Amino acid sequence: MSAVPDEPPLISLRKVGKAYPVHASAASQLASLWAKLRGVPHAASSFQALQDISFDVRRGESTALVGVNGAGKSTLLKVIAGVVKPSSGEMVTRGRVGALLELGAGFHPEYTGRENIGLSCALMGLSPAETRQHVGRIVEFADIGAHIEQPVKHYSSGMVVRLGFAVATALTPDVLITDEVLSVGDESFQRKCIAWMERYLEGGGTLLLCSHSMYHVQKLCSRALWIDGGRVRMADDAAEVTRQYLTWHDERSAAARKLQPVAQAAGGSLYQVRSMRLNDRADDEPLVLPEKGTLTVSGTVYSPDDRVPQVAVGMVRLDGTPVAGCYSEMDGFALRKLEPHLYAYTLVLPELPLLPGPYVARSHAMDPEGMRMFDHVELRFDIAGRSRETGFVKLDHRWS
Amino acid sequence: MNPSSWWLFLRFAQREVTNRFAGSLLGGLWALLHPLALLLIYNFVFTSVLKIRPPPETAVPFLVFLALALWPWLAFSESVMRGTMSVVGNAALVKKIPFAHELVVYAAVAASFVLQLTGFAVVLAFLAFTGHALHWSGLPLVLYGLLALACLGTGMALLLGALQVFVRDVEQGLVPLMGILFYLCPILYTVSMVPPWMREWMWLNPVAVLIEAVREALLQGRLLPSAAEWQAGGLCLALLLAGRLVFRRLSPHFEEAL
Repeated sequence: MSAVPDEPPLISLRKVGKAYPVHASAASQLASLWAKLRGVPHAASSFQALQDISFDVRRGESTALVGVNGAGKSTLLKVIAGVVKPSSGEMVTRGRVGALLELGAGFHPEYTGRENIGLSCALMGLSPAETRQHVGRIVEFADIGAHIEQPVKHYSSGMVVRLGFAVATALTPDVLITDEVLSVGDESFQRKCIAWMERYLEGGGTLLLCSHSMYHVQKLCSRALWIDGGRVRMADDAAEVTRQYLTWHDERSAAARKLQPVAQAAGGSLYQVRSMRLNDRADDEPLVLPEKGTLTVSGTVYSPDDRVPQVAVGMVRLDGTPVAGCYSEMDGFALRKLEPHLYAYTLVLPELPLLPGPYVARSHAMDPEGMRMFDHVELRFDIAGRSRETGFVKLDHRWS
Repeated sequence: MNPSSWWLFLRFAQREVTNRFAGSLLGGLWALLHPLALLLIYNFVFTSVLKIRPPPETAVPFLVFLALALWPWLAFSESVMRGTMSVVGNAALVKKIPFAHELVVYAAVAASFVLQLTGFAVVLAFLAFTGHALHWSGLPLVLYGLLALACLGTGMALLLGALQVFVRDVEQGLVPLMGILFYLCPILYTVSMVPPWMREWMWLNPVAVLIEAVREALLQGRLLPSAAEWQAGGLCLALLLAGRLVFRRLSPHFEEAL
């Protein structure tokens, strides 16, 4: 699956941009039509769907596009597939590029599955003789039984998808461009898709896919591009891009729940966390730990009546999902008195079994009885790594 | 055209033909029934109601006179109409699959000509069988005229089909335009019947010149095109090239507007 360095890239984009005209009036619509006829750019108001995109895809270097809906991923795939002409920049593709922008695109509902295979194969550039050669395999792969002789209008959406995938993959292109293909169809079909793609990759194929499933991205691709607002925000290996993207994504969804600054208010009548540090760092940058790293949470708790307070240290994911919680009261730990009303604690969490991603550590002040929980202070930390396991806990495991 | 484009064109054309009759009981027979109905109603109106006679030199009944021009006209007008709508009609393909868009236009034009000319052949065979004196020696000129009409139909379909993607008014304007063009062509009459001042301008309308040529060839057996007919053919070819130029300029932008 490693890239072939001496060969020119299969796909090469340089400063590619795509602007869609936005027409306010009939006059501007006609003016832009006239500009297109003369082959000159038309300076009408436009929506810039893609901007300044440069990257290469080399043989064996499968690449994923990640990004939120509307970021421009699908437009970019359309540009590379040759359906959309870029309005600026240069694009070169080499070898046979197979595009699977929509499974079953081009199927006519009135025709049978077999008849639709005929047109689809012709659209991919096959002669009737070549089509005859492939049709058996296509029918076999689609595996929809006698339905192949029925009009496509009687198909379930799952059957359309099966047939579409079977047709598109019959040719084994040098690059296969797919847009969210893996998110459609039933479980067994998805398995089949994945199995086919893995075989295809082993056979030296190259994928350019667009997916919201970071699992698929990491499983199938070695590189990833993060598209945001029509631009490349990040291009790196798949594990790194997906980690950063997920972090950013979680942060966005957590934006409403802004992290609280370290509480500093003096005095007061409530138990209160006064300070908190992770691994004794003073700066505001989030702490980055390796997988199985050691996390030390330390801090001070204010006690209004100078009795020894309790503290709870918890961990949540960036979106607020609880991960774990430790209580000084349960563990029988007594906080050290630093000065009147101020008590200190340090919690060491060795070999943190968390999977890569962003987390938040929280310290909650509790009363001496360990009954009531007061306000908390929280700090962000990240686990870096390339583990592709899912969830957030790295469970010790062995296969047999 | 490279071989794979050629196969794709054939697939599109085949589908264009089958699409038209898919689900209808009489199927391809409609390709003949529709013009026959037109032929009979025109014949009734012009011979029984308006009492119009074809010029004496033609020496055939009005029905035959009309039939020889009606089918070429229908082939042409249908090719322009269907060709104009073909890109928009195949929006799903244009938006999702890369291919040479002009193939759907060629296919629509080809299917229209194949269907109407098959009907024409059946009608000609029927006329010959029933003893009408058609001059088969005029066949080369007939073929020339039809070929030139096909070029013109393709050119107009490319031009209008591309414009239709961006300006949907094209279709609205096309229906009355073809209606007017029908009456401006010597289908229900001959060029010799029109006022002289209008005859001078007739050459500007290649459809008129070519339809008249097809009929004359079959009625009088003229073998080769006249100067005016060569000129009309040249105009058709020029329009084909112009249409293709416009289409190729606009086709990369189709996806934006569909």
